[in-house]
Amino acid sequence: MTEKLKRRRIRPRSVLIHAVLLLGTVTMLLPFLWMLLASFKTYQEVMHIPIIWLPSSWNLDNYVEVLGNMHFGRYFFNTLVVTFLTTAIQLTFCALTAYGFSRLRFPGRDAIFFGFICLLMVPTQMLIVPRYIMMVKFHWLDSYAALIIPHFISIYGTFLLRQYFMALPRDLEDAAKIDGCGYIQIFLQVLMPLMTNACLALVVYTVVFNWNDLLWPLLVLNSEKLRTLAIGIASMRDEHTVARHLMMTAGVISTFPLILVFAFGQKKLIESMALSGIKG
Amino acid sequence: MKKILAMILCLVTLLTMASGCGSGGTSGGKDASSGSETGSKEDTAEQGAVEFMYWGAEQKEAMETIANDFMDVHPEIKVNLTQVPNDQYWTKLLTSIASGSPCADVCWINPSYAVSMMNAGQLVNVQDLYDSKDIDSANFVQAALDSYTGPDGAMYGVPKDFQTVCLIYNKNLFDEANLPYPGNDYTWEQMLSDAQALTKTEDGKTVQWGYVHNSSVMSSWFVYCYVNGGELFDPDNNGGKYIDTDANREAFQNAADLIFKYGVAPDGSVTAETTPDELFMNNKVAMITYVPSQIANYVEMLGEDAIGVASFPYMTQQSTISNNLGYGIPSGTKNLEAAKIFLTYLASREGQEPQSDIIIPAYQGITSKMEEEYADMNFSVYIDAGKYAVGTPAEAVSGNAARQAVEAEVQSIIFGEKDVATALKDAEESIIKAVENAK
Repeated sequence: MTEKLKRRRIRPRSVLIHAVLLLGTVTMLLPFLWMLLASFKTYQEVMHIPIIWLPSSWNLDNYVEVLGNMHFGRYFFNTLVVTFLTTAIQLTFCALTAYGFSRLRFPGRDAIFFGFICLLMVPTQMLIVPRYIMMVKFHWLDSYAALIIPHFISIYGTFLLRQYFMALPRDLEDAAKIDGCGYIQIFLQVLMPLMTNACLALVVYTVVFNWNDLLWPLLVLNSEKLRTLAIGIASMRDEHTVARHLMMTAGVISTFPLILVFAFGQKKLIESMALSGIKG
Repeated sequence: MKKILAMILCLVTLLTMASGCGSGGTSGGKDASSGSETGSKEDTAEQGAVEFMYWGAEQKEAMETIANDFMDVHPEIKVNLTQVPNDQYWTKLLTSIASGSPCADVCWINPSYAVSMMNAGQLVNVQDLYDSKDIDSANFVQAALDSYTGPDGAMYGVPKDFQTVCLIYNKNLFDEANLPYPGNDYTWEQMLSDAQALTKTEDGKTVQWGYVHNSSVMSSWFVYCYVNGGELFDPDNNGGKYIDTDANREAFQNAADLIFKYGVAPDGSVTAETTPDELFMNNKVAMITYVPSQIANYVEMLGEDAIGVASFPYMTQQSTISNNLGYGIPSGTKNLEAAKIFLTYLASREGQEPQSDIIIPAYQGITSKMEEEYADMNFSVYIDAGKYAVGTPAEAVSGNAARQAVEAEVQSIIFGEKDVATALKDAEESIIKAVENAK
């Protein structure tokens, strides 16, 4: 038995696979490690060539400076509010739309869905000015509304969830219908409980996107009070230089919640990508 | 049922917030504005609020002081400050201008963007302020004024600061090589010979270079043209060419020779990995050319005693470029009258002085604190260079498109992919195309 195990352990194929995986892991982790270490370093240490890996002293000066000087608490709160509301509402709307496109029969359904998908091909940059004009006309500039409402519906999210709905067997619905369920009941009590994986995947995508989104919040916000973390970090740049040690510290603080989201959602995310056959 | 409730609750929360925050309206009146910066003056605002937008985190304090001083003099106008990261500044400004509702009433502008904005009618003509002598052009050097003079000869802005490009060197490395420090009349030949003495190799590999080409072409390759008697982007005075002239070709060749013929400057493969700035801050390079605001970072890394300043090394004539920022009023502003009052204040001595801690104000006669602080490093060269500096070359063509074309070709030169003649020929063609597209 032990001999068998030993033989299995040293199989060259497995060594190769693990070597590749290890290389991938190191490549992915190294920048993060660098960011984490840099958050403890002084400006001199960060800029030093050749690279100094370990800081000379492990103190929290940079964290104190970032958290103390830069309204970080406020930025954090704003980001949290925007991300939470956007994600919750987007999930609701996308699920309802996807259900409609996949399960209900109405005239022009496929044509409308085709139009929907076509919109995916339009680059975001094309939509910026029209969207901005809408915000001006609605008097939503410089408010949470401008950050949240344009993200109510996501075509990508709808498409993702539709693929999932399509994969669910129709028999479930038929059985529910026979038992006397209406559309809302079927949606909420029969289909949605089976959609947990897909919904979690969409949550991860939406959270990550909204947490890191810089361009749109920057365009529509002016007030310091409403700024999000991404704007706060980008604003730390001077005209010609970057205080890299502080930037990295802010990066660590803002990345932490995302790592939590990924830690809990990664399995579902990968499963959903495998099923829908698309990647973000 | 619970889920429906949760959804309804979410929607209600959202709509409450939307209506609560949205009521403040657009960039005009805002209750949710940057209260921390201007809060105390809120009650007194009668004539409306001026949205003032800038980039450059390091000047935040100076801008706040200017705004507060202004509100003391003009309590009827409230100034809201917004600092936007450099990289996204123009996207935000130009998107909002394109939508017809600019996000700022007064904003920082730079010479490159000013040209395209003036050509596109995106800046308000403020010649009336100069004509009425509310703003006295005599207070500013001509090169700074030129940057904000439109194609019609009228003024479209106010100079903010005056940053010439000079040579910054590492005194320690000069001492090690027993070389005298560069002075106010530093020629290209002297620079080349010093750079040769300052370049060190170990086992056939260069470990220290005498000189590095700044990655900002405005602080390096553009200036090379002028110190060789060349001219940029002004075909009327340049034999019908934007860049591809004999003088410019010779200047570029001299610069390329530093890398490929003499080996005293690192090539693109080195500077792609470690920026010229980082090389200088780590004693790997002895000389770099740059604007004065960079000195503070060099001092932080190397110490004040290690930094010296000299005039830009010249080939045939002493010259340099001044990259002076300015203030302008975007077209479409809803609050033009108040914006003009603020702009006038920004052009006054009181409006310029608070910047002197960190930068050289455009207003002549205000001594920059840097001049006193860095007196030992011969800092006054930066001020003296104003006498022979030319404005940022951005005439006749959108400076940005032209600059991008040159930047791309400079990359191919420093990577050794193209020779100078081909690169300049290609740059000329790209600029001609950009000009045609702009029409």
